[in-house]
Amino acid sequence: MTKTKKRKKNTNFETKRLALSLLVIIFYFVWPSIIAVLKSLFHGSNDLILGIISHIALVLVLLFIYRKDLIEYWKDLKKNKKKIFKTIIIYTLITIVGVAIVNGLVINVLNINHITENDNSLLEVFKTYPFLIGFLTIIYYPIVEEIVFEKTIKDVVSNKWLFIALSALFFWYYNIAYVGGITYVTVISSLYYFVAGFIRALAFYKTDNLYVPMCIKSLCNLFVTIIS
Amino acid sequence: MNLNIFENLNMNLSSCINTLAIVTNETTSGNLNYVVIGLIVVVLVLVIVTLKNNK
Repeated sequence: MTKTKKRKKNTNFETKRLALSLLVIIFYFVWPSIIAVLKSLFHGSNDLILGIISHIALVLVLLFIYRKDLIEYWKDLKKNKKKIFKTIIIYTLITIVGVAIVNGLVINVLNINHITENDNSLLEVFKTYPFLIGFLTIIYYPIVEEIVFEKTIKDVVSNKWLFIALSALFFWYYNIAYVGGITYVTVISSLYYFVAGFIRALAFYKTDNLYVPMCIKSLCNLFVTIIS
Repeated sequence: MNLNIFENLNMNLSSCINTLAIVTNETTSGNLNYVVIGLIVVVLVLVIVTLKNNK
């Protein structure tokens, strides 16, 4: 194959990857609107059941889109079991300690003791539907958010630090913007989202296996659910 | 001519934001503006990175 043909093939591949990443990101943010329309169409039906179905459908769609990559990651996981599990445990501990340090600094040094809207709503719903929130935080969010905030970015950005920074910023920004609105207090009190996203992106880059950040997020959320 | 294009774009974006705000129960239109702005920034960054890689 000539150099020009190789280059053209590479460009096509990168463009396809970009198009897929953009589609997935946009789809993720339009999805709640589609569900809201469905809710208004089926007015009077059980919102909770519709909500659960919509969450499961979104996970299935994302898993289907990235099925080939996920199979490769699974093969890699089986091949490098020890190394990957060690990384998951170490980075989970780093995330828990990192988040605790950042929250401690924010509360004690900056005197901001504010529960983010995201955490607040999760805690409120947790009182009524503990199993639903358990399912969401331990299974749903790790799969969906790691695909949307990390896999899509890594497929496009090859530079290590640009990928890590962009992925962490993207995750941080949406956790503030989507639920709480952007103010000094919400930005600072949500800083731990950036730290957690940064550590998970680092682990993903290091292992090149999406199950690693998924498991880290799942274990961290499990830890928080237990202590809640 | 260019101004018209930008005006149309602005109007379409505003109506798009409003439509999304009406059908979305979870977010206020204020928050949705931030979401849309963030989305545009992320899309632009990813497109620029890909274009740079392909150069």
